[in-house]
Amino acid sequence: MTLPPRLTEGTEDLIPRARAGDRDAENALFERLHARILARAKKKVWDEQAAEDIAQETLRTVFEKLREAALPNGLFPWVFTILHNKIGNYLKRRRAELERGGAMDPEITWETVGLSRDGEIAAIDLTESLEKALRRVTPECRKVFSLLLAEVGREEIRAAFGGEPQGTVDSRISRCREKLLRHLEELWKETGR
Amino acid sequence: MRDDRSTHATMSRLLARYEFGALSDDERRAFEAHALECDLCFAELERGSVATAALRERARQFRQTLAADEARGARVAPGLAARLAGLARAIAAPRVLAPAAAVALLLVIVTLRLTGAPRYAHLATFPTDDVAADIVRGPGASDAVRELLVAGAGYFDIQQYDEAARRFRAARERDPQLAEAAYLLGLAEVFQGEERDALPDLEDAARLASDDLRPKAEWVLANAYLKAGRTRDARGVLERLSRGEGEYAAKARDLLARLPS
Repeated sequence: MTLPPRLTEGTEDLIPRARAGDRDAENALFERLHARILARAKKKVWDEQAAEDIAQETLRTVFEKLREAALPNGLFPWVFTILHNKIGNYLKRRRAELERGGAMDPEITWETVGLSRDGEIAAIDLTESLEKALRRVTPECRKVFSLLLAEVGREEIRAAFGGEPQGTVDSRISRCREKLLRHLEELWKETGR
Repeated sequence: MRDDRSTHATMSRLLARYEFGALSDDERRAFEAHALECDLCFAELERGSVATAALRERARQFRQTLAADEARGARVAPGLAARLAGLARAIAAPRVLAPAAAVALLLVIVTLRLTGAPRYAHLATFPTDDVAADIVRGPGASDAVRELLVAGAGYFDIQQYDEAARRFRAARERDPQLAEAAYLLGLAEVFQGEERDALPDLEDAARLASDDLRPKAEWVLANAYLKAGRTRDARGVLERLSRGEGEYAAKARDLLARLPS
């Protein structure tokens, strides 16, 4: 795959350099992640100071472990896992505080952080929702997910699509992902999460 | 601006494979560098992170669901021989699938062979260039429709067919009688592997097309029929097309010679 030259400007190798201990790269990476993580946290907790605390805690954890973390799936899934855990912990604390004080902030939302109404990570609910969402997508999409989950390589995936151009294969995968997420989001709305 | 859009389009196509750890090292490095600067990709990654993390964690459980689905004989898209070869390689790799899943997939292969896939789908070919040349530039299309077609053609050129189809579909909704919109939407759907969805659009395109576009529209329609397993319908269109003159008539005669009588 030929990548456009603009991709290599500015951020190329920022993550590998930061992981190797380059302080300049760490600072640059921190700046780039901070604004986005803060924005995501604000949308989830509706409190500027709490969002800033969550962003700082998330990044502290990320950078404490950045050098030794294996990151087999890349940086972002790991960062989001940490972020969601921090948000989840905050919401649980906040809810407990509000309930103890006899008030519940109506603006705290649970649905997008994988939390049930009682504030616990709803692993079972999530699994069930995923099962249902998988059943709603087409058999071809399920095949796509089976290949991705089997961790076969890019060429194997292409071969499974009859050797079609990589762009076509990627478009199909993207469509399947979008369908799955939409079904999942519908299910979460239906169950009031 | 064009560079930014093109870059985002190229990178966003990689997002789903990134989430599942299916990018090469070079692709992953390039995608992560882009996502550090791209609000859209960052937001989309966050949106999918809970679901894909859970999917991956529970892959073994879901494989059972998937194997059951496959064991019922669900047919995957055309290109069966190559796909089966790919599956066979996956099965052969001990790190990939547990023995039970491998057995299940072998059963699937047998099932697929028995149920059959479109036999002549591999003969289907589609034009991949000159998409912009099919855009109406004259008085037949309004500015808004033409704008949608131009935007869609831009995405088509960089192989982002879902984005292209969205714009072609919007153009078609605004002007249902415009053959070019129907043709381009059908072609984009074919390239997304949605040939069954494409057939009504391509049928409309062949019906509505002017003499300039009709041979090409009929050629694409015939190939979409082939890919969808409707060989008889494909033959009908090809026979009609072959009676004419020009590039597509010659192609039709050549393809007819390779189909069963």
